[in-house]
Amino acid sequence: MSSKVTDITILECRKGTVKGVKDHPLKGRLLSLGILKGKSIEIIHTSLFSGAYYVRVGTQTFGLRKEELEQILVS
Amino acid sequence: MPNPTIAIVGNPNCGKTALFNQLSGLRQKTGNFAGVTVDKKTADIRVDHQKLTIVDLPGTYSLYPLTEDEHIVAKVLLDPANEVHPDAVLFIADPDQLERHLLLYTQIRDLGFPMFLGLSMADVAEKKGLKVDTEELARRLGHPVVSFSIRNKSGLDVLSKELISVLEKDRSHKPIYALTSLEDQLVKDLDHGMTPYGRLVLAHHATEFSFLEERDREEIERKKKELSFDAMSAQVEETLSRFNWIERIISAVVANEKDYLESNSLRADRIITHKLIGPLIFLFILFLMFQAIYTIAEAPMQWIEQVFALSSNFLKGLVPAGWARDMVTEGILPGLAGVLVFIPQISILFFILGLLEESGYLARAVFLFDRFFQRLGLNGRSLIAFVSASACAIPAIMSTRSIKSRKERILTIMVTPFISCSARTPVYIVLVGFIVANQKIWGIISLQGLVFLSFYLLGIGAVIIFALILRLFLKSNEPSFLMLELPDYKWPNLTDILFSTWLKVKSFIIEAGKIIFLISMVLWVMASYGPSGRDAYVEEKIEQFKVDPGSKEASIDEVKNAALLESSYAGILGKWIEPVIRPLGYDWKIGIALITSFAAREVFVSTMATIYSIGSEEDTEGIKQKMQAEVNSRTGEKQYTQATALSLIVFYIFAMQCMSTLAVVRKETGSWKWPAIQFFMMTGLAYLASLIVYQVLS
Repeated sequence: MSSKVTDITILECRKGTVKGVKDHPLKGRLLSLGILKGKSIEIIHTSLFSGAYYVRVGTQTFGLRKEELEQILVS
Repeated sequence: MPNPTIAIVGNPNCGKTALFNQLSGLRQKTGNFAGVTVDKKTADIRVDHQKLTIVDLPGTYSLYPLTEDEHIVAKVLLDPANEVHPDAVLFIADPDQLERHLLLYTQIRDLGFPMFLGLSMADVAEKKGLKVDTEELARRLGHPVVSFSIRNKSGLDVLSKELISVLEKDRSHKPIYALTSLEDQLVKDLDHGMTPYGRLVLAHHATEFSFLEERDREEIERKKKELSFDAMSAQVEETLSRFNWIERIISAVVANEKDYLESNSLRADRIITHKLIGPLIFLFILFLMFQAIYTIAEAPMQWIEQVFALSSNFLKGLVPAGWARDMVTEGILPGLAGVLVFIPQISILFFILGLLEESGYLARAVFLFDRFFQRLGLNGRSLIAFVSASACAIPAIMSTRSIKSRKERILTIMVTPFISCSARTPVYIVLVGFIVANQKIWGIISLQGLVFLSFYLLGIGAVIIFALILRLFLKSNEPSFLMLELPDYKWPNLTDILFSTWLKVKSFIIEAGKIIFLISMVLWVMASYGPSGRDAYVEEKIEQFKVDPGSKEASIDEVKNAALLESSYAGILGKWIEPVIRPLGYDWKIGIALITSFAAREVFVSTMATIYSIGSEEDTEGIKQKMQAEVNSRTGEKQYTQATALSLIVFYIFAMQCMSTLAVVRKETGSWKWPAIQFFMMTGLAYLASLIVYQVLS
């Protein structure tokens, strides 16, 4: 999957629908957590010291770091 | 012949440990100090007269392990020679997360295990308006699906019956994932009596599986290069293809009767994980935890002390004096009392930790502090180790297996023992009375509880400082990740937590009890016997006393006992170390306790108890009173001043005095280098800090 200019990550729009996950060493794990194409995704808030992000994917919630969210493309 | 073995497998938070507890009851065999589920647990059970062994494996997301505890699952399932390699698998999934949980299911199924599916928390799913057509699901999967709930005790009979029938019927399934031609070429020569998919997983992790032969591993790596096999994209393609298959099933069997509403958990988390309120809540919970430990435990601790004092006196009245009686009343009983007395506190601590973990709160705390710990070179998951370490460093160090990066993991292991564990509490309890009086502020907050909190804070300070120092020496390019699931909050099952608290306390009593029993006996012998010439020394002291009693208000008996102890083997050992510890404010008796407590800290109290019991006729007064009365033979002043007590406490906060922890660190890091550094780093700091405290205060 080549990164096109139109690709935006969840970090940039905070709410959307998952389009895919960028090629990254942790891609397999992100997928197996159920972060799959077509799921609704939303950043709820961040923790102290601009740390981890509280993220809702479908009906599940996760704590994800900035670098991890940068891999998630949304539309 | 060994029993047939059934493994219970599933994602983290799927509810399988609760099921395992339910099925196994008190028959569990856990490793020593199995804390948070990091190691495999087994139990021999009986269903309809048939014996079975069930195994509870750590929760994992897929057969592509990232962390140490996920590796355990892959190893058990892929190595037929593993001691708990199962004959069949009971897969547990949460109906609410069925899609994601079925990923691991399809992988395990493709390994060729006979299996059946258990849907946990049926009651919770129903409340959410989630309907799973289990009959249709069973038809599509080709094996039974059992819906159960531990809380309502529903479905458990059916589930038990299936444990037997899964072993009886032939349940080979058509593979869900068909290997690509490239993958096929990669594994076609690999024969370990496995399904094609089993071989593929072996090939993926060839370098990490020590049970493979060196030759096989090299061959696989060579082939991967030859075929220019891209492991990552192969894994991604496989995962996506599996989810395709799962999606078709889900759409046919799951009906969601209610529209998506923001869950209660998410609403609660807007406050609980709020960037400012969240940490305050966490600190408040810690505060409550310590208050509970030191107020609730007070009364039962006194009962235990009294029971021991009574039984010791009872024995003295019943049996005539002799070395055997004395060894029991002066050695073993005070020694055992020293460890048993803090069972109430450990139980409360383990219980509260269980509540925090089971309810889902601990994951939130990890989330809150991830960034903070990252700055220290650690991981949010280090928090689990630090909180558990307030009970015991051993399960805490084992819990670091969920940290992927080796650097973060080693750092966490190195600083974890600075957190005050329950073995230090008896030392603190005995000594805190010499620092502040036992009183309440505003009638409810225990002053000693507050001082205790400051001891813990000192330990936490050391964690932060040493993490920052050590991170400079540890370099790593490994990826670090959080990717933390925040499961819905749930009411913890109290029976479950009480049960696991009991298992932990039991193993604590056995492990600590063994050491203390042994050391108490050795110590008693050393304190009761001495080299020849001892009698002459004692006579001389008594004569001296008769001529010049000095200012001391002592009886001849007391002078005799003191001289006897001084000239015993233990006394000689204490005297030998005294020059080193005198600058810290300690005398040779404390020296004996310091030496013995390098085996385990709690031995301090039992050593004190033994030393001060030798020769004393009545055991009505507790160890604290004996220490209060203690006079330093050199200075003639009270031995336990505020300065000495504080210096001793500081020593116990920082020093590495636990052989079991060092052994676990060796095991988890794979080298003696780390425990050695840890020992000198911690004990060196302890000596320096105690020196400063004593010299400034006295």
